[in-house]
Amino acid sequence: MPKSKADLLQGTLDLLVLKALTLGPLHGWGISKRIGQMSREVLEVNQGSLYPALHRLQDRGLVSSEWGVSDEGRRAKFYTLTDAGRARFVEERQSWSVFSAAVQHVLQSG
Amino acid sequence: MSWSRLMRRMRMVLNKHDIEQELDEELRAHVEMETTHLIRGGMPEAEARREALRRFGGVERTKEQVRDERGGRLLEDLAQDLRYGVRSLRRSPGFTLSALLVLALGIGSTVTLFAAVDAVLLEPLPYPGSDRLVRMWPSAPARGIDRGAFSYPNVLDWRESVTSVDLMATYSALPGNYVHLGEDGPVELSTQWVAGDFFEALGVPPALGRPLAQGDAEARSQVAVISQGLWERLFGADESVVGSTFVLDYRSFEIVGVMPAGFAYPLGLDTEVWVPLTVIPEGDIPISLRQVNFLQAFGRLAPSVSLETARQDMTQVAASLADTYPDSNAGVTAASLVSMRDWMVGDVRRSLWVALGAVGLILLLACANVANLLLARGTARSREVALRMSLGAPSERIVRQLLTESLLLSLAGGLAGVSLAWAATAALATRAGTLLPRGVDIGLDGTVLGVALLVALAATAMAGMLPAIKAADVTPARDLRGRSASGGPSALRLRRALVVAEVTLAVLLLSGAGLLGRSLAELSRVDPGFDSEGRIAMTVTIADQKYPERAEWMALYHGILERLERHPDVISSGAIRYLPFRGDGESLPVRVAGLYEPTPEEQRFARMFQLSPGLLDALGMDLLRGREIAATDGAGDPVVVVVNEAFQREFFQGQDPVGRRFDLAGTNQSVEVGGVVQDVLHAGLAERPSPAVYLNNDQVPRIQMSYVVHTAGAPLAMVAEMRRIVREIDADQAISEIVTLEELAAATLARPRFFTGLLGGFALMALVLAALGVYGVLSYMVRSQLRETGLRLALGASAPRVAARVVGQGMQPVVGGLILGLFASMVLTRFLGALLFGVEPLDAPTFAAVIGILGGVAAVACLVPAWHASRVDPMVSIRAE
Repeated sequence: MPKSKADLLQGTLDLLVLKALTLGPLHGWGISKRIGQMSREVLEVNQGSLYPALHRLQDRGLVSSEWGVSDEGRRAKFYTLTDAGRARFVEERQSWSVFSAAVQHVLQSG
Repeated sequence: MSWSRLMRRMRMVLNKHDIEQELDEELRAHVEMETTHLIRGGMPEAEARREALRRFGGVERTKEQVRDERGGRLLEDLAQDLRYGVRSLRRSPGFTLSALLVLALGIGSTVTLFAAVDAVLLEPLPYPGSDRLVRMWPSAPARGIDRGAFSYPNVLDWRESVTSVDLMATYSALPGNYVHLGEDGPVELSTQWVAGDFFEALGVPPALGRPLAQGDAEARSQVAVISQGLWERLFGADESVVGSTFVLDYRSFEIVGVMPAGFAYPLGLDTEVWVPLTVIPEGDIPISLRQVNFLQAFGRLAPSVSLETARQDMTQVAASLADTYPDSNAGVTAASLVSMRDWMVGDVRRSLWVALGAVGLILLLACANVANLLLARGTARSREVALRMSLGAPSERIVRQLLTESLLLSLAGGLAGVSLAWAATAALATRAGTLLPRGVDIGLDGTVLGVALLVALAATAMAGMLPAIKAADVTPARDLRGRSASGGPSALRLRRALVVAEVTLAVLLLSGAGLLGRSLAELSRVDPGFDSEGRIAMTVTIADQKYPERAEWMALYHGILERLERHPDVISSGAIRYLPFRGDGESLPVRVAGLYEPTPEEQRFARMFQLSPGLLDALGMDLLRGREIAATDGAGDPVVVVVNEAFQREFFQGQDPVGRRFDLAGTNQSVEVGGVVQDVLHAGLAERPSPAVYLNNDQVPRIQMSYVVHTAGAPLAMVAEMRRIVREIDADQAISEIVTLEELAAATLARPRFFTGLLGGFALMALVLAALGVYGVLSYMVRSQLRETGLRLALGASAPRVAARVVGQGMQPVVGGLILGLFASMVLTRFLGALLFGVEPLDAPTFAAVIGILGGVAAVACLVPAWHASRVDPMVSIRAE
């Protein structure tokens, strides 16, 4: 069975999900849309990766979930960043900056 | 893992249903939001819904992945797999039952044999610190004597001089009986004569009182230690019995101690009384003489001394004694030493390991069979698997599911196997209790049950792994399409390979059992040198304490002989010291003037047996030349002996010895050879006969004789008659044993017969399993080739040709297995080595028979599917596909 692309992006996807949730609680569909907007529609989140990621983050205690009502009045599951999640986000963002700067540096050199 | 996380996972497993529903709802909400979003963008509703679903991708797959991310996943899966497994096994009872049966047999027999190996070979001996216990013997290398006996003075010198053992004990080689006169007449109590640190070295303290020590032997005290059984039976478990006296051997002994129940040395010997060996009257055995070798010894190694160091130490002591006492110890210059465990269980070790090996092969065969069944089932289920995979189940998941099913099978099979083993070990303990040392201890305990679980798990891995991987290796596009679910050529290849393996294993088992069977047949064909048919023997040890004068006790001996002879049913009768297989006589040095005059170092020995005139007839021994012992060879007359063929070969260089003389130490005179008899295999059927000398008991009398009767009636009818005769002569005289010669002969074959039967049973199982394997694969093949067969028939192939083709296909892997098995057998049967008698490990007739039988059975197994193939209706089969 071919490995899904999401596996390769796992670390990145987690970071994006955490970022999307820093602005407030959101349901799965909303998260995928918000990531799309924030990336100016460059990044499209595959649902097959999003939901496993959400459940993974919840299992690790970085997000919590609660059933609520969406803007359209539909019952939906809302995810909220926990304190641990917030701390992890700061940490991950830091290392991502270092990482992407380094990659940038490599690509522009020589 | 943190506690809260663990709790969350547990909750997930417990509330699995709710959680699944939630996930369902969450994903549905997503799709609906996407649909609403698209409709707002101006898409028609139906199209929007389709598009939303398309964008989402596989719902089931996403669910699966979400489940994977969640903790508690494995537990959850296991629960699901188990439920699913039970359901699917119940759906196909035929498959389940046959797999269970095969597994139960395989696991059950493995566990049973392991229980036997554990009880007999692996468990420590019931003496504390038993790994330090060693058995020791003096050896005379120049004479080829490895394990000689000790004289009492020699064993005391060893005990003094050998520094590598802390404690050293000695005891008389032959257990004997002391008569105790009870209220119901005389009873014989099995007695062991001991000295040195017998009890202290074994490390088992008495339950009551004190053990015997060397001081008792030196003081020649008439003291005794008794067994708990005797204490209960004779004294009603009265504790005040310690210190009191009781009459034994017409003498009075003080009871000083009681040994706890279960104490025995050697294992299996039911000794009831232990006394210092110095209470043996000098007139019976002159124990103070250094040349009277009749004692065995064991000891406890000093801390951190190795067996090899002890051997060197003892060899030095033996050599120095040989220098100091050349008259008695010449040539006895070395020591032989083995651990107590090796001595006690050494001779069954090979048999047991061979049997365990055989049963391991059975287990492999059973696994191969179950693997085959699983493969067939996997093929039949390929559509189901393909369906589940196309619905998003990953293939690891399918493998795990199928393995769970095999695990269920193996555990159930293991459970059935353990119940089987429970019954089998009980039967084995009864049957083998007397055949194997510690055989009575065979049973299921924690260790054995643990091994049973391991065996069941191993069986899962062996039988289930390949089929599970194979079954998960489906291509939905192909396997969903329809009826051609044949498992493909690779599954068939695998199944044929399994048949090759099964036949190979069966060849191994059959040839092993065949060789043992042949060697048992050879052993039963051996002429022991006497006839057992219609013969019965009674052993009586005359109470010489009651009859101090030789003439008195010899009168008792003659009285028994005369009355037996006068009995109307008796054809012939006589008496002999040591029945065949019950003792190899007394060992005495021989000298033949001019022919055999050895130095003391090279001295060889003959075995001496006392008998009565007429014994040769009574026992059916063949007199080859000269005359037999006569009543006229009386007490005061010159000694005339009969020798055996081995004696003639050994000491007369094959010349006819009749009428010639030689020196026999025990008689202190030159004796004349009256005749030559055929060799009697006193030491056992598989042993080479020793040179033997037979002489009249009147000339060198012994108190213990076995009275042999050849009766015209049923031998057992003589039992009451023999008892009556002894009672009439002396109501206080005990009888040691009455046994038919046929029982005696059968007993020597009991152990080989037992192991051969065991292996034979395994071989039969192997044959059936292999035949089932061949049949299963072939009938499956016929079923999957219905269409092709139909075509062939339609195109004019004759039914016999079709059938022949099927048989040919079936026999192909069989022939492969036969060849492989033949090679494997050639390598492995040599491990039977010492178990074989009169047959070589590479016995061509055995191998030929094995090939013939297996090939024949396999061919028969092929016939049924072949017949089915030849009966295929072309029209039906072609249309059906």
